[in-house]
Amino acid sequence: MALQQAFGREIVLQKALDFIRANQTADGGWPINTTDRATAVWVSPLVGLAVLTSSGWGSSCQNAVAFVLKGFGKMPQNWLLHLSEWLGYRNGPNVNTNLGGWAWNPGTATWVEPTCYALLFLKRLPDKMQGEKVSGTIREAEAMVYDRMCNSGGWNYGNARVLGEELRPYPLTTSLALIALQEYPSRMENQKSLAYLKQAIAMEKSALSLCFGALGLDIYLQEWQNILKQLDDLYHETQFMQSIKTTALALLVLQAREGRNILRHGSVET
Amino acid sequence: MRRRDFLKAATLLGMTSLATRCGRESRWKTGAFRKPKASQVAILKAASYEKNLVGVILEGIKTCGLRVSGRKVLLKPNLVEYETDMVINTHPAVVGAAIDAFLRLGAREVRVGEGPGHRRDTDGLLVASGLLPYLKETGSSFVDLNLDDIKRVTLLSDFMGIDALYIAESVFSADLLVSMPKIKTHHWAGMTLSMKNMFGIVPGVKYGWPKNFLHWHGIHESIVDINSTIRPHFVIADGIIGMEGNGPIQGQPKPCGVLVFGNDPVAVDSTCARIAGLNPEKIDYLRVAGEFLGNFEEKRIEQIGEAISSVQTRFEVIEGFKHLRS
Repeated sequence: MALQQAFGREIVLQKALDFIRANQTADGGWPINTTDRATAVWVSPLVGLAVLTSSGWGSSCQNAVAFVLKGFGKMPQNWLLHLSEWLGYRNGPNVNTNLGGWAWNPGTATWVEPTCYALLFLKRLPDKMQGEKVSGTIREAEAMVYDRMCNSGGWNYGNARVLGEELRPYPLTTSLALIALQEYPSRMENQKSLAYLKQAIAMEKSALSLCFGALGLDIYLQEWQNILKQLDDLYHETQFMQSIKTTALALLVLQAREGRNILRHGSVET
Repeated sequence: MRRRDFLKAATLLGMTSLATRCGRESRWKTGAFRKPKASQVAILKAASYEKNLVGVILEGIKTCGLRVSGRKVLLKPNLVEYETDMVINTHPAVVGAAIDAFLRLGAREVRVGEGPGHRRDTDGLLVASGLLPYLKETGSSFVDLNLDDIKRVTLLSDFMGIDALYIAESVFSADLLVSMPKIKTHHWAGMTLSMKNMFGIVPGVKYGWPKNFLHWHGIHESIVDINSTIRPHFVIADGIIGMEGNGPIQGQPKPCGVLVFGNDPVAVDSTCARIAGLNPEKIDYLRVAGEFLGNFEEKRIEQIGEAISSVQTRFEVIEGFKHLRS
């Protein structure tokens, strides 16, 4: 905001976009920061979301889409896990390994959070960039996220059970999954997860989780004004741990209160 | 091939592979490690989290002869997630007492750092676990190692089959890295102690939540490679109430009444395993680390304070780790 006042909104935006453009890698994605040149699977769709709203980014966006689609895949098969399952040392996979998603790192298992980020990006693509490949990928990834839901509703990082024990969902990942699956508000899984989120968010102590919770509940037209009070209390207690990202998210929550939730599909022209 | 024959063949293959791994010096850089001839481990009784923890920790640090004055200390507790009535994390009172003790001994700075493996909302964990008041009281800062700046580090051993890992930058700006695990059984590794606790210096921003990259390259292998490259200078293990059974999250509280100290993580972890009634030689990463990083044989560990036998508490383990008892 101080930057905006000093330079004007357009100049700040242009500087940010120039920075993003300068750091796009040859394969179309982005690294996690300027010191690491490896393209990050999970960062790229989020940056892609940011540039989608800017004009004159056609080829850059297309490269980003190509990178994100290339990262989509099924759970890699590990022969040792197969062997231990066959020998009875380990239960079979708790997840449907035929459903593709995204991993945090290439060649490793697929998880809920990076898959949600990719879904958010792909679903925001303008019509001219959509196609059968994109829509097919979206459908399969949505099925993968539903497959990973905890039995009680809600999501954790992407495992509903380990060694026969039910695992608990987390408010943050539940919010992300609900935001990524916002086209299906009346589906039983969404309703069950919303019920979990509403109950869990009331006791949440993380500003980061509260922000995503507020944005998610807002999309589903649920009451969330109490979260503002929780955020206010936490700010006084922790100052959000001096996190710029959390503070920026809190500003997005304030924006959502004014009716502009940028994570709601259709809220921003692409 | 019948299932039984296959089982025999697979077992033989596994044993051969492991023996090769343990025996081949090419798995680590020759000359890069100087395993101590003997290691000291102090076992001190601490009945509860309420009474004189600072005194016990001061005694533990002094007994092990750790030089603290003028040094920058990074405490690395085990913070995973918070659930009421569960004992998942290193107790905040132990972390608070350690901050106090290191400051009293003249540390230039004491910071606390952790990069939880499952959840990225570390801010909530600090509040819910009760650690935040201790940080405020002592004026110590907290660094989320998952979101820290990162540094690419060439690994000094080769069990994971990769050349390098990214590590949180704050680890390198500290003069003293203190691993502060909770003594817990672990459903993949057998036990999680000071060495497994070092998974927390591997940044989530690079490897995600969970840090599946490490599991994908083998938990035992990852533990050894991380610790061969970034070796904690000191260990304070919280065994006042440990966790048994299906750890590291869903196990049951196990009162044990001890804090365990030492500057050889292999020796401290092996001692903790013995306190829990488990055989460290059967825990893969400890046995391999005992080849070149530190001491796991009882005869090479000088026990100070309580004898193992006087504090030994049998921890329950899940079915797959019953063999650790023998």
